Amino acid sequence: MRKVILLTLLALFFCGSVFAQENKTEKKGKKKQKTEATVDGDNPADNATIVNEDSDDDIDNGGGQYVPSLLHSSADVYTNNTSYTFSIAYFRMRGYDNRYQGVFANGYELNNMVTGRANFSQWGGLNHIFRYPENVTALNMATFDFGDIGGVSNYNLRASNFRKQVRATYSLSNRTYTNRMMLTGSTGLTPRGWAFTGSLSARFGNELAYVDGTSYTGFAGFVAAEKKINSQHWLNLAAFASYIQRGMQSNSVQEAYDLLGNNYYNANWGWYQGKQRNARVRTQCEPTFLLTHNFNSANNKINVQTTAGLSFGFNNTTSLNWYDAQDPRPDYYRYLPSYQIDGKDTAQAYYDVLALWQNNDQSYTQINWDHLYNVNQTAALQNKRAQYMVENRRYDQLTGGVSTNLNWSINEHWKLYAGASVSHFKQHNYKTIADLLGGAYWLDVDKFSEGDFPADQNVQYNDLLHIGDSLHEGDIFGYNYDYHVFKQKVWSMVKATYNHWDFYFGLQFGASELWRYGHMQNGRFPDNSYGRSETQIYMDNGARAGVTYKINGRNYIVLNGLGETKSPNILNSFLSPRINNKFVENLTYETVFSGDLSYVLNYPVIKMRATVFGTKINNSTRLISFYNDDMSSMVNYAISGIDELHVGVEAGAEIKLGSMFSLILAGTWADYRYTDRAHVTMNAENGVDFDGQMERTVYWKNFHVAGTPQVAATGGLKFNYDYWWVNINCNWFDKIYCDLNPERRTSAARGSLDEESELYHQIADQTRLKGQFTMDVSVSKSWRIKHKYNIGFNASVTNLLNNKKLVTTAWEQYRFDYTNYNVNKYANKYYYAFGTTFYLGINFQM
Amino acid sequence: MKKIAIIVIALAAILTGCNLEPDVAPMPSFVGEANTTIAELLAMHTIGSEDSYDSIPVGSNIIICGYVTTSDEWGNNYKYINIEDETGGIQIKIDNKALYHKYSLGQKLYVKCDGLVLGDYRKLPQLGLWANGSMQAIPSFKTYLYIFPDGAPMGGFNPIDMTTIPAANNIPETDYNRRVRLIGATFVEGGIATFADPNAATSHDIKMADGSTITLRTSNYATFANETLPIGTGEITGILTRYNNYVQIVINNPGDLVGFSIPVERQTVFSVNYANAFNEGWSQTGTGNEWQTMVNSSFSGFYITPAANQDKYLVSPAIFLDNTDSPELSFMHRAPQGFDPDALKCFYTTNYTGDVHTTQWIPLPLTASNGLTTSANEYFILPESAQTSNFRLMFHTTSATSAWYLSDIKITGLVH
Repeated sequence: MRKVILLTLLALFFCGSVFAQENKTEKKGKKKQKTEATVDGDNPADNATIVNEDSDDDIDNGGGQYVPSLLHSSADVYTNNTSYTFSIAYFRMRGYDNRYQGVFANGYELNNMVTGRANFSQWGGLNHIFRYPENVTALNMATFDFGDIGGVSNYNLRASNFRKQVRATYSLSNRTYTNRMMLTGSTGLTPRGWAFTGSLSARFGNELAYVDGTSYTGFAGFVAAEKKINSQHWLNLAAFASYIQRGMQSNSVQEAYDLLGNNYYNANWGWYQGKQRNARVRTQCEPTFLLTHNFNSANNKINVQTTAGLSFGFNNTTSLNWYDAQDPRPDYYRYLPSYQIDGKDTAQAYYDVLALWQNNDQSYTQINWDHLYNVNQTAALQNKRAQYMVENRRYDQLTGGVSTNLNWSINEHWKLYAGASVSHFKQHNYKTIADLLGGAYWLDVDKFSEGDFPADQNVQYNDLLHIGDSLHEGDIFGYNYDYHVFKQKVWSMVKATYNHWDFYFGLQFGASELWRYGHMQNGRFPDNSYGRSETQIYMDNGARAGVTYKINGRNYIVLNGLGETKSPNILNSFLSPRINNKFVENLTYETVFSGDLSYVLNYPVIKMRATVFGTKINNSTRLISFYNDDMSSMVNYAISGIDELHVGVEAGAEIKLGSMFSLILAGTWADYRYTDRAHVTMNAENGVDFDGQMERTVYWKNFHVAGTPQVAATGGLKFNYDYWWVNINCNWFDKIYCDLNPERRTSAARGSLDEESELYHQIADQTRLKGQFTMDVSVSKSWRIKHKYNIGFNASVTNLLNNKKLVTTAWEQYRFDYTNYNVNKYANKYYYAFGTTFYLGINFQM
Repeated sequence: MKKIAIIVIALAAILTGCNLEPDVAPMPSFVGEANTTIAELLAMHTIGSEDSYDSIPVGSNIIICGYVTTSDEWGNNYKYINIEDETGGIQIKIDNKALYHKYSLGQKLYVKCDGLVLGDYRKLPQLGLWANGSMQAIPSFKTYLYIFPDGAPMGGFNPIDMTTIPAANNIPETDYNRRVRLIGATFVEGGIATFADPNAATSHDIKMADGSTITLRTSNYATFANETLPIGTGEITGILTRYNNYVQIVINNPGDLVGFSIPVERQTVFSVNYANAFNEGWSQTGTGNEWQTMVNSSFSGFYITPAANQDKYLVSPAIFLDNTDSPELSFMHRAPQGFDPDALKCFYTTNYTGDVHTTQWIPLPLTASNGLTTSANEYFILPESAQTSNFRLMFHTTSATSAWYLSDIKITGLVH
């Protein structure tokens, strides 16, 4: 044992020293996992096996004999049958945010360090390549990373990983795109020791089935070249990029949906010169380069993979902006009939507005571009500034880093896994003028600051270095700053395998340095907005362990535990990142404790996993920005001390009914809640100094954490005969909660309202949406022709019963009506799952 | 281990269906203490002959505490609240509506006065904020810097009882902006006037038992502005204010009035069914042309055409006004060839003898003058003596030149 600990420590601190070892043993062909993940709405029918393929046969149940271990590095019976099926309801496994899920390629982490989340659009469309990740679900142990509570995935992007082939796919769908074409070619490993793989993809779609004004255009490419230097050393260069431009869908209030009889009403577009023009267009492209060195020792007991990565690119979303003018968004609360009820003698106005909505007068219910142009052109004739414009909100990222991972089979029982990485992430956040809409120029002032400080005219300027500049298209305005994250970590795990027991334990030590660099000297914060902020350092340390009791080759009991600290997300670490360098006060790292206990059955006729899990997340932070009526200003609401408990049961079973049919049962019954009160510091962007008074306690203990159904279940039937696959699933989603506006759970919002009063309950109670039922069906078939070609097709229909009442996202608006305490003034906003959608794919492979 | 235990317990709770009650935000509270009474605060400013102001310097660390005595829930107070402690009261100007949600009646408030301005408007003390060269209401978003609610709104002090109203300058400054109770108060226009006219804030005299007077000031935006002032004598609780040398009281709502007779709503107690008027008690006598009725889309009423020997009386049936307070008579009339006040007359009586010539008629002088070519409205407040069961109207014409048209004859009043 002492030897193992020593080895662990050795690996943690000196893992780099093994890189230089040489061994001339040939690398054995790596067995490809049959697990598939569905990326970007891909075909659900492709899912495959879960546990060790070898374990179905020739299993020795005798006591004292070797019992094969479970393979966790593949989707299990639960994940396999729910990952796509539940995605319609935006189901999140165990209720975790995606930042608790690590995504890697060749052992190099791809998660965006600002959001903490992997950006799957970064390789969107490259499904032929990003198709077979090594998935490690939840708390199970991975071999390429310390892991996290949401699991980790690793894409193998080595050119030699793709066998010699040419593959083409055409898909037709009415989901995110209409047409998709993909073409991939691989050479396999040539006699000269080279392997090449390339892939191209294109996706198009306009006026998709459910949401007017949306559009989709995407192009993606991937190339990889690998050279087998000798039997021990391999060098691979992979590069990929995906350009995506999407006209986006808005979310809106139920009143607008009901008036139009359309839960997919999109307020983002309006008619302009006879065409639908969307004000919210997201464009992104983040090319990534990965240089990977693989080392295999002569006896194949030591494998080291080292990857240096470089990623850069942009992520831009356009949006309307306006100054001293009416809000141009058609579903703004003042433009809805309900707003007219509040006023005096407005019966006629109410009916007028009602008629506009009920008749769907699109000059009113959609963006009236002509009006915006007219206003601007009139102002321009008088040499006045533009009142409306379309702005670009840009995030340009630059990431560079190196990571290295070691796998060492010490002996027949013990294995050591270790790794180290260092990376620097920079995200440049700024706005530019995209289109002045016929206006003459723009001035960069904060509309909410004007008038509040008559004695100090500088306060209104967003950049004192450019006071009074007349800005035009392409010019930067508003805010302009960089986020920097410098992250380092080392980790190691040791795994032991014995006849009836497997166990592992591991440690991770890491640190993240966070700072901001301001490119503007903001008039409200002239002394701490420009230049570099202080640097704060937070630890990313963790410890984990797990044990599997192998009762026999059919029955397993698995226990996992993990405890870790996570540095705060930089996105949530600054009080008002757009305008100053101040960190959130008392910012601290997050602590996470998680455990799960599973029972796994692995019989030929029944495969089943049942798990109870519990996770405690403490001290999370979140920053939200919104217009505060009471302050007449944009405010930044920094919430710290967010404590959550996620507990529940998840189970999945696949039962064979004869040779052709299988019965599928899977589901989660869980409860995700806030377990303590949170702390809020509010900062107004108009520069009012609250002298520390704007601190609040959020009383949301025992309220539900939203963002996912907390109950989800599916029952289905699988048919498989002669390369025909048919799946039918019936699904139920429940315990869907509306995301909370913390302000409504503060003493300030309660005021002196009686706890029993109806108004108090209107303000404080959390909305729960109705549970919903959906049904899916999919069919696929493949043919092998002349033992050389494979042709396949697959078709799926999601939400066959066309249920349009399933809410996928619900949130309370952050504005709160402090004047009249009318919670319906800024009503909840909703996204609904699409009704019936289809996917049709044809695949050719040779 | 503790964390794991928490997780296991929580899991057990969930699995056994334990229902966790959602958290409840407490009412706001203030950490600190008041160090200045309102009387002490008021002493920092001297009310002069014109509006004047004194700034309260930042750093003076003045904190007052009081209970809210006003509410804008009924629309009678606009963009201000009043608070008072045992020593005095003060008005705080806040630039927002519906303040009653945050600062409800009886709410204990702490006010950090540093940076505020203490002044007077027409000699009434006020707290506000200095901006643009004058005292302004505190912007809503800045109230967080100055005003801090504390606990449930259940506090307050007994009002100051007043049976007489001294001259404005003889009332202590600390009594203004406080809640007072007027004992033995009578509305001069009780039962007649409404709290406020439709288009402007309105003053109404209140007479105390000793004859001294005070003004009830009511906004036309008050939800009770259209209600009639109560009759009789009672108690009025409200905020004592002044407008220069006028002493005023402002109530939150009519619930602040106790002991009065609340008049019932004014209603029409008599009107005419012109199509059948002469079968329903209307009668005529005298010489000349006959009174006739006309009912069509343009005119409904009585009319009579001229005659050389015209001397015609039109007498109403007996009208029961015995149960009607404040009766008011109104009608429309028109004399196309010119109005002659000596030839067209209106009377009433309460002791009709059956003979127009022996009955003692009381004239109701018509306001119309010559040239009445379009309809004119006549309006009379009938005296208390008219409130009998035998009230009758009489219209008399001797005109040889002009027709006379009468319409919309009605009597309204407060039926009890």
